[in-house]
Amino acid sequence: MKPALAVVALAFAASAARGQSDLQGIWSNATITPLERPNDLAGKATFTREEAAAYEKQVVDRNNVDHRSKNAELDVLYGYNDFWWDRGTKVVGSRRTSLIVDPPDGRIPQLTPEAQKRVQQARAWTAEHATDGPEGRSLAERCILWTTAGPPMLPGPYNNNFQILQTRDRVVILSEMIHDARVIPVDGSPHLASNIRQWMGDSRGHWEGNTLVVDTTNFSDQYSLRGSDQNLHLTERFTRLSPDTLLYEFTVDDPTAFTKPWTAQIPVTRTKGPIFEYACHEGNYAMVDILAGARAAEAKGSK
Amino acid sequence: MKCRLLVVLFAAQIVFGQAARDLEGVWTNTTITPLERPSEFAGKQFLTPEEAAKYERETNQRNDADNRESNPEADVNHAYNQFWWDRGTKVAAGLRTSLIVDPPDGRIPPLTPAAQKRMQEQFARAREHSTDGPENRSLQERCLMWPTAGPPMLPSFYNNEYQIVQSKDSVAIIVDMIHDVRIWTAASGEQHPAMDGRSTRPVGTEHARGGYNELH
Repeated sequence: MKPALAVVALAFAASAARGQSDLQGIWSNATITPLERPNDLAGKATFTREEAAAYEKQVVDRNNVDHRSKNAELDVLYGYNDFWWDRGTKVVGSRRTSLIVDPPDGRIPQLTPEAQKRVQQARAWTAEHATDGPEGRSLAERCILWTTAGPPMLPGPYNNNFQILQTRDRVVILSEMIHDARVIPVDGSPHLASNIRQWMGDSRGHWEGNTLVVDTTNFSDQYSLRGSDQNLHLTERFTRLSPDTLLYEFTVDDPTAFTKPWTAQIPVTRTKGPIFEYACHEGNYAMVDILAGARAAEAKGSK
Repeated sequence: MKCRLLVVLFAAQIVFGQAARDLEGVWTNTTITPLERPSEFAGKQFLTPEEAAKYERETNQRNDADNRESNPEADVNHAYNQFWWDRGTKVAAGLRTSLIVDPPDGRIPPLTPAAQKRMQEQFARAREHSTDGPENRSLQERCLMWPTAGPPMLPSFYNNEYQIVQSKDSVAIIVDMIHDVRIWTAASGEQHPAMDGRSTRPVGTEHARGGYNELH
């Protein structure tokens, strides 16, 4: 072998030995395709082009909060004007009517009877104690977790961006929403001991061909993804489809919560950075106002 | 030099070239060496090994939250027992008496008159309005920033760990304290965002340039 060819071959061999494709960059999962298939689209897995265009027009129009209401009070309740929202304007490229691809009905499977009971009890407790103290408020209001920030990462009303940084042994995923980062070992190391529970679980990655597969377990029992419990086992798959597209898939497996696993696919597109910092508690008057309002109502004896 | 040797050296650079500046890992900056030189060490840049041992013994004794007070109220005010603190027990290698190496007196230089005035006004306002609303509380009470979490990262009483993940183009630093992450874009030639008041961030924005053994 010629020396120059040997150099090139050695460089390629080093890269191939790592078995990694490049996932790095800043990505957006903004789309108006809903996670679950809407009832009015039951039985319809994909739109035609014309149906997709009509759906986009209808949803974008409905989402536009710059439509003024005749009722001034209702108008003020819109809070942000449309500048601040970033829901996306397009359905996914496959024109699927839901991000969930399995089960085939595009809906989250039913909760088990035990999980239904748990969720009902949690709702009843919240209804009774919603303003007792900060613990009665949602994790999102408390700036602990945001339901779309992940894992798994889902399209939300804004801040649908995340940045991936990748080395041989680690992958970092920084979600814009709430500004949390996961550092995922991709070195074959085992999960944390089962008694260590974290808000975002414990993620471990490995490569299957050009796909990064991330297993996450050890979730806190205070975290719930659509009814999941501490036995949630989440599997995420990241595959680079083109220079500007990643396919992000995840499977939710939690036999004590759901009657069967469910899987979603979200195409993710490259976007221009940088991601600016998200300081969740900055300007967070709602928590103080809610609790102060409740205390004032109690003082007046009018809870 | 023989051609074959050149090839081997070039190949080694491709495969192992990053090793010279590998900053990756989980790190701690725990130390009981103070940021500023204590007045008792004025004019003394370094401790002798014996002085360092004495300083460590005295500081660790003073820091030990398991020392019980005779006054129960003061005792309860210790809040955490020693298990929860992680201040370190050793002075920094080199036995300096302060982490500040410049100016040579190991002290933060005096504020300018304008900055002194600004600080005094802030203190006065904080005293007068400390409980008016959340924005009057400190940034750490509001979980926005912690003064030791960085930048710059400073030793503190616990959560002195940070993890560096480093790729070809970027470096991420995840700080244990408050769980914030900074991602630097290294040597990309990108500019900082405009300082127009809308894009400033509590922990700033970072663009790095790397030499073989250091990042700026």
